Amino acid sequence: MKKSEFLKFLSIFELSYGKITKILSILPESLSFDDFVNNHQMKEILGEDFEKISSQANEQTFDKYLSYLANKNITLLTCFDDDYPQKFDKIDDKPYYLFCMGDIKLLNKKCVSIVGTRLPTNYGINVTERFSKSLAKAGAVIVSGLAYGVDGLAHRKALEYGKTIAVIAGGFDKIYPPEHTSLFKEIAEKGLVISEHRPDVRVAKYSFPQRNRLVAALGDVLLITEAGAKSGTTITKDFALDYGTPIYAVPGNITSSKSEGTNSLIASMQGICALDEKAILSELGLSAKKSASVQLNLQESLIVSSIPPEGCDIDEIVEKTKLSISNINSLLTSLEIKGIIKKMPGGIITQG
Amino acid sequence: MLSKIHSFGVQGIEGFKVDVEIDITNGLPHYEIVGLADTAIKESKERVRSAIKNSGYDYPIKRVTVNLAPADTKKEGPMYDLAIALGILCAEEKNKELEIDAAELKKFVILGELSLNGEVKAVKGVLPIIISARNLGLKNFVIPKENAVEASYVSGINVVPVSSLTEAVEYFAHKKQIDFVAARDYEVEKGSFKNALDFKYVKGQARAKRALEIAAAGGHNVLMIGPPGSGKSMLAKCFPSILPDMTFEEALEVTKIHSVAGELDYKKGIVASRPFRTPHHSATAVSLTGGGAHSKPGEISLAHNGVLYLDEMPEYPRHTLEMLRQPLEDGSITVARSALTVTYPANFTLIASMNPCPCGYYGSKDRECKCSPSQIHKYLAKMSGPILDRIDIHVEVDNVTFDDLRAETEEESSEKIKERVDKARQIQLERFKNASNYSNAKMSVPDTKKYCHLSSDCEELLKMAFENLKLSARAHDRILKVARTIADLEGEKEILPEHIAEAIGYRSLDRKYL
Repeated sequence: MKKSEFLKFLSIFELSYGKITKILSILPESLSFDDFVNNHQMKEILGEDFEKISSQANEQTFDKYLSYLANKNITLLTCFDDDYPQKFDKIDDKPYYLFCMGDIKLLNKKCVSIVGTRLPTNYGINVTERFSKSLAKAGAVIVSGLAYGVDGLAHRKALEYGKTIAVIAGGFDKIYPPEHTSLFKEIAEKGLVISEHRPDVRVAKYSFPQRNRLVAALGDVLLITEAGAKSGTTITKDFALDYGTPIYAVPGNITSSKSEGTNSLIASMQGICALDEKAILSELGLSAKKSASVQLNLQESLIVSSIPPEGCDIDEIVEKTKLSISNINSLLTSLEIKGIIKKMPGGIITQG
Repeated sequence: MLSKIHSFGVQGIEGFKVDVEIDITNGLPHYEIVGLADTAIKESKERVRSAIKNSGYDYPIKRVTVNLAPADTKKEGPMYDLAIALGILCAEEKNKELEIDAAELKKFVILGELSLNGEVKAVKGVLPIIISARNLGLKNFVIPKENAVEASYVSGINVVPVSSLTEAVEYFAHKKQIDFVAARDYEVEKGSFKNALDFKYVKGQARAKRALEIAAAGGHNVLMIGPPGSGKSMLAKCFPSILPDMTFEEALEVTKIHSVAGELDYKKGIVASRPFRTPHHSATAVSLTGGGAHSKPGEISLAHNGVLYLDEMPEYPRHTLEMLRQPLEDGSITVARSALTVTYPANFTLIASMNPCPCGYYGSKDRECKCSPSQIHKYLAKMSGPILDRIDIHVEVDNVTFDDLRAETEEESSEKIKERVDKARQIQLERFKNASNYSNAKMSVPDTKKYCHLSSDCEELLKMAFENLKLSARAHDRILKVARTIADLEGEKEILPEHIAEAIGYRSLDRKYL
């Protein structure tokens, strides 16, 4: 059995990082299950785990495990494989194996990680979708963590216009948050989902920062669209600083507590001020794709022109355009279908 | 001696005939009531005795047995007092000199509660009793004077209003003439909607007003979502003012329910404006559905032909909300208890309001929301799918700005909106004249297919909307029904793309909210 095969076998047991590191340091190029069972060094390293592992160290268990993964369409990628992304080499405790669902080729494409608050304001929703859409359209793979808020928005927009990778904290059978299970399925089908854990492993508190380090390492650029002063985004940002990943932050209103994090990144010059997607794309060596212009009729353009950049409610549109409310209601829906405007929670309309 | 008097009881909102039989025999003084009487009836013993004595008549010092037939049906309430008292006076031979015409008495149905001094007090359920009795061919009634107005809306009957036991005795002894209650014509209460405000006082909120106009026109249920203080309750209170007037049949049905529940204003005698009920979220399930130990219509039945307004809907206990599922579908509620099963009508328009999140400010333009995403999810999850399924229109309401409040612009009055609503209802009456339902909201699946025919343009638009806006499948029929109503409001025969487009705008909770 080759090194990588043996590593796959070890992934059954969710061993601690330290133990796997030690095992790999003494692992010969090839060994059989019998060699393993009789290896004293291994026994020393694994301690109390050894008995459990050696009792299952046989072809049958391993084959069963591999077919279990294959049934779920899961690819188990080890650090010895060619597809394993080099980007992870900069991580001190880089994952030795990754559970993948979807197109693993995406790992080595040009990626932008988009992260931010779990509860964005209407402004945050707007800019996240705007960046995710234009970056995905230009060919960048959008990486995020499948969390509520910015993560979910970034994934959804990217699915519409390009490719996306979700890095998740738990196993594939225990999606957190559960509300994102359908989103997870869609990404697994059209993009890629990766995890460091066996499918049946539940999320633990400590797995979120671990997930964040992969998000930070996988992106060639890290983009923070909206983040408060204290949030999980800070952890991702710190990892990105460690790895030398360029950080872009979208500036926000200085009075909004939800933009404190991004604004202070820009103020402290840790992050580059992201005004549009162009700078990020040139960093990646990609160029923006022009969106096809949509033909609007007179009333539609009247409505679009009455919507200020920060958005407004319907009453304001009624007042400015003097159109009837029934007319406005139906025009807004058709504009929304065309992707020109967007309805935000609270009934606020913004230009999409 | 034995005497027999006719009276009536109430079950659900129908009356049933009760024969009050009184037998007085020699023996130790004793008073016994048989025939599944409740406590209120059992206690009539003291009221009847005092009333008879204080009216100057003799109470028999003998063995008195009262039987309420049929003996196997439960009877409730004090409405039999007057019948029992008259029965005792007839049966006691000492009272011969009163000259009560027993044959005349037998032609009447007697209702009324007695007070100790012999006064006759109002009772619940007079209207349903009179209507049921009339259907049985009974024409003559003695009822408390207070209930006279209520009875006056039924034609073809003779109603004698009495205010005391003495009056009743003298009437039946032909010593006193009492005029029958004159029949009255039904008049819709105009301009004085109980609890209702006028839309002209609501500044801004164009979208919410439009949504309520559509709801009124098509009988759709509405959910308003908005931060605290955005005027959701105010909008809801204006809603009855644009509903079409109640027909006499509708009013009678509502009055029957209110009469049984003891909620009727005796001076008015009829509920002539659509009811608007706002049970608090601490309301128990039984108080909403009706039933209970003393079977009584619940809030949803009291809202029959009117509006049930549930403020802060997610605050209601889950199982209380789930109770609304059957009535929202069938327009009635059947309450089964061990003793009896009763069906109350409950055909109401549901207006519900809720905050977008526990703190109330998610998505608000001028305040920041302090809730975590999982809190918001939990909050929204309190509205179960089946309940949301029955609400056609979701509309977001945001705070009105100061400028809006001070604006001098004249807002449209309820009267004007009502004119449009009435027109749309007329179209529906025509459309459903051979069907049991009479509003677009209550269309069945085959009806929806039949009346909501879509042109290819509409089909295309709907398809695009489902793909681009990620609507859930359950939105489909709702959108068609609302679009039908919008087309009716515009006076269009066919549903046009703009109607579909507008209807799609009212499905915000079907989208990904977070």
